[in-house]
Amino acid sequence: MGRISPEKNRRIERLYKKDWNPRSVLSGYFSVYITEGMVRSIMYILPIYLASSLFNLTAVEIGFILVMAYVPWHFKFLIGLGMDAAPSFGTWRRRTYIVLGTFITMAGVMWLAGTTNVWLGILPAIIMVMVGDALIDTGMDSLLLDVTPPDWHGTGVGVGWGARAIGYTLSLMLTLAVQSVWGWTAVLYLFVFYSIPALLAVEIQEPRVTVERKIAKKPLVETFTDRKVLVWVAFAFFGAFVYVLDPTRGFLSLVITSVSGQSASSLLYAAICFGVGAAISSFVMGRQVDRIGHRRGYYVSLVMAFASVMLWTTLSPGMVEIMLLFSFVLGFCSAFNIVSWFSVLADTVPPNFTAFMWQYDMGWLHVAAFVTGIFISYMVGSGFAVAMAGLGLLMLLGFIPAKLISSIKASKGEVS
Amino acid sequence: MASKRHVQKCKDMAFVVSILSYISITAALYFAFLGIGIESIKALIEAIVISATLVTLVVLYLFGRIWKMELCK
Repeated sequence: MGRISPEKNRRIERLYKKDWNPRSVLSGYFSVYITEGMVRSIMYILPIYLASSLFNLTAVEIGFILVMAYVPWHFKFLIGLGMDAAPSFGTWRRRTYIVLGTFITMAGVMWLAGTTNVWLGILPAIIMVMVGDALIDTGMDSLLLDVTPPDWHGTGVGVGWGARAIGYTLSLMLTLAVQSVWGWTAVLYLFVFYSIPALLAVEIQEPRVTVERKIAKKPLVETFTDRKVLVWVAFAFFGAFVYVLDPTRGFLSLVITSVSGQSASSLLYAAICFGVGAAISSFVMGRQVDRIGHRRGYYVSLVMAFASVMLWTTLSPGMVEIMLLFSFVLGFCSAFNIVSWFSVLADTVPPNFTAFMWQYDMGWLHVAAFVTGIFISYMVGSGFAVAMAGLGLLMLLGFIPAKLISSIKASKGEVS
Repeated sequence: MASKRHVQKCKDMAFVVSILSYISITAALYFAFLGIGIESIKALIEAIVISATLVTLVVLYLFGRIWKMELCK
C-alpha cells in the first residue's frame, strides 16, 4: 500500500482489520457474483425469446425493451445514496437489500415466465428482474467495501469478477441446452434457481453502523469540494475502456462476427473462451495486484490489455481458431485491467458513503462504455482491425489519470 | 462566516442550477444524438444517464460549498 498516515492506519485497523474474516466474505461475494453472472445472461436470452414466433416483435421494439430494462441499472448510484442514508436493521445494513433484491428478481422471473403480454407483462417483469439485480449488486459491492481491508481489495473484487465470468459462461451453455430440449418456459424458470446462491451472502457478518460509516455533511464536503474528485472521475471514465468488449455489452459479438461471419456457435465459443480467461485472471491477478500495489498493477494490466486488443488487428476473416485463442487472451487481460482499476478506485472511497461513491464511479464506467460503444459501432464500418486499433489507443489514455490519482483524508485507504 | 440568508440563497441557486443544467444537457444531447440517427428512445435514455451523472457532480460540489460555510459557522 501507499504511505498511510498514522491516523488513517488506526482507522483501517479499527474498521476493517479487527473483524476481518476473508473466508466468509470472499465466499459470500463469490456466491452473489456467480448469481449475478447467471441472472444477467437473461439479457442475451431475452432478444432471442422476443424475436421468436411467440411475439413477432420488431428489432426496434426489442431494443426498446432492453434499454428500458437497463434503466434501474444505470441509476444504481441513486440506489446507493438511498442505501447509505436509510436506517439499518441492527447489523443488517447491506444484506437487507441483497435478500430483498433476490426475492424481487425471483418474482420478476416468474412473472416473465407466466406472461405473453409484451407491454403489460414482459416489459415490467424484466424491469423488475433488473431492479432486483441492481439492489443485489449495490448491496454486495458496498458490503465488500464495508468489511474488506484496503490491501485485500484486489483479491475481493477479483473473486467477484471471476465468479461473474463463471456465472455467465455456465449459464450460456446450460440455458441454451435446456432451451433446445424443454423450450422457453423451462429456460425462464431456470433463472429462479440461478437467483438462489446470492442468499448465501447473509452469512457475512456486517459491522455496526458507527459515526464513521454514516453519511454526513463533513465527509461529503471534504470529498466533493476537493479537486482530486475530478481525477477520480477522469480515472473512472478513462481507466477501463476495455470494458466495452465485455460479452455482456454486445460489442464483442460485433467484432467476432466480422471475423467468423454470422455463426452462432463461433459467438458462443468465443464468449466461453473469454469467460474462462476472465475467470482465471480475476482470481489469480486480483491477489497479485494486492501484492505489487494497486496502481502498479493497473499500469501492468493496461499494457497487457492494450497488447491483447492489438492482437485482434492481425486477424483476417475466417481465422476462427486463432480468434478463439485471442478471445481467451482478451478475457484474461481485460479482466486483469478491470480488477486492478476497481482496486485503485476502491482505495479512494470514503467509508461514510461507500454505496453511493462506488456506484457513482461505476456510473462513469457505463458512460464510458456508451461512448466507446458508439465509437466501435462507427469504426467497425471501416473494418474491425481499425476499430480495435482505435480502441487500443484510446485505452492508453488511462495512464494519465492513473498517474495523477490520489486519496483524500476522507478516503478509505491510500492509492498504492 | 455566512448568514442564514446567504446560505438559503446559495441553496436556491444550487437547486435552480441543477434543474436547468439537467434539462439543458438532456435536451442538447437528445437532439445531438437524433441528428446522427441513432434510435431516439435509446439515445434519450443514454443522454439522461450521462447528464444525470454529470449533474450529480455539479450539485454535490455546490451543496458541498454551502455545507462548508455552515460547518465553518
